[in-house]
Amino acid sequence: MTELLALSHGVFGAAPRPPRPKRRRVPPPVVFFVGSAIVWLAVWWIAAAVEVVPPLFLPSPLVVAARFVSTLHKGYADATLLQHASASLFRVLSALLAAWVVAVPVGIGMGLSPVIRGIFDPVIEAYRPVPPLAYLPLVVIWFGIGEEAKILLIFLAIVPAIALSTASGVRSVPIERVNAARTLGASRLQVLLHVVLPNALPEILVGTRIGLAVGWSTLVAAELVAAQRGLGFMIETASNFLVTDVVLVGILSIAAIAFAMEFAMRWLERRLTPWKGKQ
Amino acid sequence: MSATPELEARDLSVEYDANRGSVPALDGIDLVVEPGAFLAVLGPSGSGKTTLLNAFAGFVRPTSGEALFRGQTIVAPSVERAVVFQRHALLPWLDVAENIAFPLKIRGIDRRRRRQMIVPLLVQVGLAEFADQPVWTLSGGMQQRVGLARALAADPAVLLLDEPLGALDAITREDLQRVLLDLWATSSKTAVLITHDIEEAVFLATHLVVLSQRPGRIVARFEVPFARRIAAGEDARAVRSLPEFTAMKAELRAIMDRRAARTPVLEAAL
Repeated sequence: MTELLALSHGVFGAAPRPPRPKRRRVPPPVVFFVGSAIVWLAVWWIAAAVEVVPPLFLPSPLVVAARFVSTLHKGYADATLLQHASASLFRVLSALLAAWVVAVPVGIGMGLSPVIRGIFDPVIEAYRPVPPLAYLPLVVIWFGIGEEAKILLIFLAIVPAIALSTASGVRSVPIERVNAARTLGASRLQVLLHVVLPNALPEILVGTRIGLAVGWSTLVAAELVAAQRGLGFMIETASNFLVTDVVLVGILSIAAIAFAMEFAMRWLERRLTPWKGKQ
Repeated sequence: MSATPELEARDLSVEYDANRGSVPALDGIDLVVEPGAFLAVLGPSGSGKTTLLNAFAGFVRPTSGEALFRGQTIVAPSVERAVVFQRHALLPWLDVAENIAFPLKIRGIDRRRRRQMIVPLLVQVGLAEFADQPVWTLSGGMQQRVGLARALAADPAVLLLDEPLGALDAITREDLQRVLLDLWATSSKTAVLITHDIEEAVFLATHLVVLSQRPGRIVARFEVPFARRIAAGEDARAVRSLPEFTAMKAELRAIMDRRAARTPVLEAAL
C-alpha cells in the first residue's frame, strides 16, 4: 500500500522538473551476443556437472572440447574433423552452385512471364513443403547412392528458396524504373540486364541465404545413405554407438560453419547492395 | 505555313479496363505542341494528366484518336521522348555519373568516354562535386537533378516531365524550377510538364492547358509569357511577384475551383 502510494507520488505527485531526456547507453549487440553464449555454456556446464542426465547422454563442455581436439587430430570414423567438414562443405557448396545456375534463370522467367510462372509454380510449391527425408528414398532409387544423389538432395532443397525470391525480386522492380530506361533507349534485353536484374539482386541474395540454411539442414539426411565422410555421416555414426560427445562436436561444427557463412552472406549483402531499402 | 508540330493529340481518348466495363481517363483531347514550346498540363488528381503524358511517351495506346510525334503516330516508347518521373526511376546501384550516363551506356559508349561526355551536364545541374556518390545517398532534390540530367544525356527532342518536382519541399522546388527552366531554355527542347501546382505551371510554361476531373477534357487553354521573359534575362523572383503573374494564378485557381465544385454533381448524375 505504501509502495503504491509512493509510486503514485512518483507519477502524479510533485514533479517540478520535466523528466530529463535520459540517453541510456545501450551496449553494442556483440556484448549481448557473447553474454548469451556464455550463459548457455554455463547452463550446459552446470547441467552436466550435477548430472541432470547421465554423462553418457550429456557430456560436459570440457569433454566435448577434448573430443573436438581429438577428432581434429586423430579423427573419428576413419576421417579427421576437417575431412568430414570439407566433404560436407563440398556437397553444400556444389548444391548451392547448381541451384544458382538453375534457380536464378527459372526465377527470372517466373518473374517476367505469367506463363513460365504457371509452369513452374505448381512443381515448386508442391515439393517445397515436403521434408527432404521423405523424398530421399526416391532420390536413392532413381539416382543411386553416389555423391551426385547427395548433392541432388541438397540441391532440391535449395532451389525453391532461390527461385521464388528471384521471381519476387524481378516482380518488385518499380514500373517507373523500367519505363524511364525504355525512353532512354534501352532495348528489352538491356532493361533486363541493366535494370531488372540489379534490382532483383537484394532478393536473390536473401534467397541464397535462406537456401544455404536449408542446405545445411538437409545435409544430415543427404549423408544418411552410404557416405564415408561428412559431418552428417559422423553424427549419424556416433549416435549409433551412443558417442554423444562426437554427436555434439558434429552439431556444433555444422552450426559454426553455417553461422560463418551466414555472416559472410550478410557482409556480401552490405557490400553489393548498400542501397537496399534506401530508395 | 508552319512546320509540323512536335507533339499532337487528335481527338485522343483513353479508357482503362476495370472490373466492370471500362473507365474513361481522357476524352477527346485536341492539342498541338510546337517545337521548343513548354506545355504545362494542369489538373486535379484523377484528371488523366499522367495518362496524357503516357500516351505521348508511348506507354499507353489511345482507345480512339491518336497521339503524334512529328506527324507520326506514336506506337511505342522512343529515345526521342525521354520521361522524367517523380521518383523510383533512378538506378540506386550506380553513382551519379553512371546514372546520368546511362543512355550513353545503352548506346555502347565505354565508361571513360561516357563519364567525360556528361561533365557539362553535371555542371549544368550543379552536381559536379557529387559525380562519384551513390545516388541513394542524395536528397530528393538532388536525385531529381540527376533524373533531369539523365534525360538530357539521351538528347531527346522532347522532355516529358511527370510531376518531377511533386515530392519536394517548397524551397527545393523553386530551386529546381529554376534549373528546369534554364535547362529548357539552353537546350531548346520541347517540354511537356504534368503538374497540379499552379505557380509551377505559370512559371515554367509557354503554353498551358487545364484538364477537368475524370474523364479529362481540356477546359481552358492559355499562352504564358513568363518563362520566355525569364529565359531572356528577367529576374525570376521579380517575375513571380508581378501583378500579371499573380492574376494568372488567381484565374487558374478559379477555373480549377469551379471545376472541383461541379464534380460531385457530375458524379451523382453518373
